[in-house]
Amino acid sequence: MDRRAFLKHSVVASSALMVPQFLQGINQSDVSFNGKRLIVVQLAGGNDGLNTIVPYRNDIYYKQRPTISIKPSEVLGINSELGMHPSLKNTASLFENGEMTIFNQVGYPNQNKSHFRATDIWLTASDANKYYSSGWLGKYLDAECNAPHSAIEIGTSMSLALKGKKGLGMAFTNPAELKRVGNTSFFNALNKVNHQGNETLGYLYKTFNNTKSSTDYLFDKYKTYKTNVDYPNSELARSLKTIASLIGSGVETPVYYASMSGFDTHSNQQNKQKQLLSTLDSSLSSLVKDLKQTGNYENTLILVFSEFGRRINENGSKGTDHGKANNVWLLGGNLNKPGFANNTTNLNLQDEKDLLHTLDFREIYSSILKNWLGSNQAIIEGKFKSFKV
Amino acid sequence: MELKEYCHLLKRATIAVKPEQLNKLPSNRKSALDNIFKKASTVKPLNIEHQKWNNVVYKDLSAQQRKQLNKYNREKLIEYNKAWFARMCDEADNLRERMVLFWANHFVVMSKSIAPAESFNNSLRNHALGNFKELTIAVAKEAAMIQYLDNNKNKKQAPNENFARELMELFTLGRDVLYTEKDIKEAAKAFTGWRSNREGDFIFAQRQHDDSEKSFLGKQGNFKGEDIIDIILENKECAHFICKEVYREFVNENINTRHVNELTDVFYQTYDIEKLMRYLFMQDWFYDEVNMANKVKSPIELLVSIHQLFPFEMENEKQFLYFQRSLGQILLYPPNVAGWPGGLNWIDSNTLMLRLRLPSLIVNKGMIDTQASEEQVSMMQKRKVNNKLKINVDESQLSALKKMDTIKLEILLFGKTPHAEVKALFQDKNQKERIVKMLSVPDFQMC
Repeated sequence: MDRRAFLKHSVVASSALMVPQFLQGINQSDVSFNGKRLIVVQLAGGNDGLNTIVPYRNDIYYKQRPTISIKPSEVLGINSELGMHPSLKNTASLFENGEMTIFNQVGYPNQNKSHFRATDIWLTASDANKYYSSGWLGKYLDAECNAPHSAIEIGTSMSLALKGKKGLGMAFTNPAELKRVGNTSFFNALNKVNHQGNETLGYLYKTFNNTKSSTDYLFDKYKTYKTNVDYPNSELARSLKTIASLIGSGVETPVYYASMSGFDTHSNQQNKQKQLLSTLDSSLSSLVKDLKQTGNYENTLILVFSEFGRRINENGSKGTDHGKANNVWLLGGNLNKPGFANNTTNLNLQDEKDLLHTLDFREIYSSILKNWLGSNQAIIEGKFKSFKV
Repeated sequence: MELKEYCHLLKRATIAVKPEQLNKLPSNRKSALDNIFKKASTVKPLNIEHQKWNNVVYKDLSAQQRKQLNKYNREKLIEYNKAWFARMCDEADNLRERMVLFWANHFVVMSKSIAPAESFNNSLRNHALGNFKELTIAVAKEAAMIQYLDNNKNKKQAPNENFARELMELFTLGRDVLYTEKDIKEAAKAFTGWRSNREGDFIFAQRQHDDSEKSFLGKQGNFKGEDIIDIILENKECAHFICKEVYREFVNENINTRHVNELTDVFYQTYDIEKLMRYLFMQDWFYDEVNMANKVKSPIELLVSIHQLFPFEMENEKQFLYFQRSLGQILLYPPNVAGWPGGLNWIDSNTLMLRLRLPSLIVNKGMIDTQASEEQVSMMQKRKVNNKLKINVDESQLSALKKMDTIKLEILLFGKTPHAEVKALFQDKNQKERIVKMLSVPDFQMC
């Protein structure tokens, strides 16, 4: 749908949402939960995929990156051509154990190299020249869910990925803080108001009631469980710890979202990326350990992506500039096809030093929606193959 | 004029209402509108101090210099964001400023530099109530537009269709109305050579202009950009498209075809925006119950409406931007060329909770109940929540609000008398608390 038609459509859709008995609190049947969970981890800024999953037998790679390439002796070799950045020790062992799938050269036609546009494209699953105001997971929420806590982002504001027409999805740093904010006697009284008003005002009251119900539900569950797994000291780790705790406490939320920024390494990339990947590695490792401990790993899928990869050649500041295709990861205890899911990285497939894609990211999205979250709705626009997850 | 109708008019024709504006009611609609249009008749440009870039060639700058320049521009854009907000607060009763906000979400641009951003904003202000054709030509020649929609790259040898496409799809006709892909290609040719410099000046580069004959919307000629705009406006579909947008913004998100057709007939005659707006605000249907208090305030309208009651200043600009971001609308940073979708799109669990808490955060250090439980108070103190936000609030209007007749106060805040159950929420003896609670119910989110 184009953006204008979409806006028009949204007016209709939003009035159709006006359920008269909005006073009824939401209950668990409002969450489409098939027992499977998705955790999305966004690496904001454009992670350099070539120094993450390194083509360590490739001459082009070393020629194009005389100072910042990872030496063959340093990589954590995972097959005869590709190896991981030395900071990714735990991740490499997950790969060895069959708990990780890597997709190489993921992108879409006419890739955009602006952070903003590229991010929007990944978050809304749009074509490069289309603009949507709903995210790909927001559309899933619209199609399958009714409760605000059907998707939870750990952070202060909600990603476009989760935004949909129904306004579901919640963003918070921790459930206790969320509860504190909404638990004033005034808000509790407001929650009891049996009031309709006009359609739009009614929608606000309904959203408020639902938010309160979800807040209470999350807090009541969350306080019953405390993890004993050690997490490193980083923002991402804290986010993942909260997510693992929510999952461990039995909260029935299908979608979680967390992000980590700083990957825009235009200069002196080596040290920066080393730290970034090390944080990512240890945080993911703690999350996995936690999920295993509570028996939730088999039913959890972790998706790691970035808005674009970086240029094949290094720039003059020992860094890399915005590029195109990149690798995408899936982690989980029950993967259909662990290992490398598609071709190896082919550096000859390039357009003026930008790596071109061989796999459209929307194939991965479609597969997750259909074969993991179990939605039969046409959520991703366009025709994309889906595979077993 | 009746209080409820007058307040509805002010809320729609301006950005927000101050209590004292309701002290004296105008005798009739015409006199109310005469006042509103008189106030809007002067144009006060919005400028901040910034450097000139006449001699700066971006390509010649070192990486370090570029970085500095980008940083300078980012900071200046934030300064301009604040200045624009301050302008809207100072001139909340000014229809011209209301129109600037509207047009900025119609002719959408995002500029990375201050000079083009400022120039564009003032261009909207100049033409906000003028002639739509002049407005369209003016924004098409703005550097911010030329840069944002790639017209600098639109050359005779290598046409770029970005601007031509959006001109028709988003600015004048609506998607796939009248025009075809071929028309876009032909229109793009007519706009070749429309360029800008870093200072924000328009340049017509004759050598890059394709002066061959073009065929556009059924007409043939040696068209230039202006001709294309002319031809588009000759079609009534253009007037209809703009009137639909105006109706959504100023009357109701749900279109009433009869009303929009009426507006179209008026607008198509001359494309005079002032005449259109005056006609709209004069109509009986504008004052129908179904059109009152039925719109969700945009985040900026919400902030300005609180400001009219409790003028506030945020010391820390990061906090001010945080509010804009968390509410979903950062001035000068639209999400994309289609602008903010608005309406119920503003509302999700997070934005709604923040919206409901916003008045108390600004006015009352985050407390809605002054008699909050001791546990809550100590928790708030422990977390220093109150101290984190640095907001200075002017409470001088509080006494006026306290003294205001209840019905009048309700009309001011909600546009209508709220439901009895909602009213029961703010029966406090403590008058300040009563008012903070009134601002914290969803009804205050409407305009």
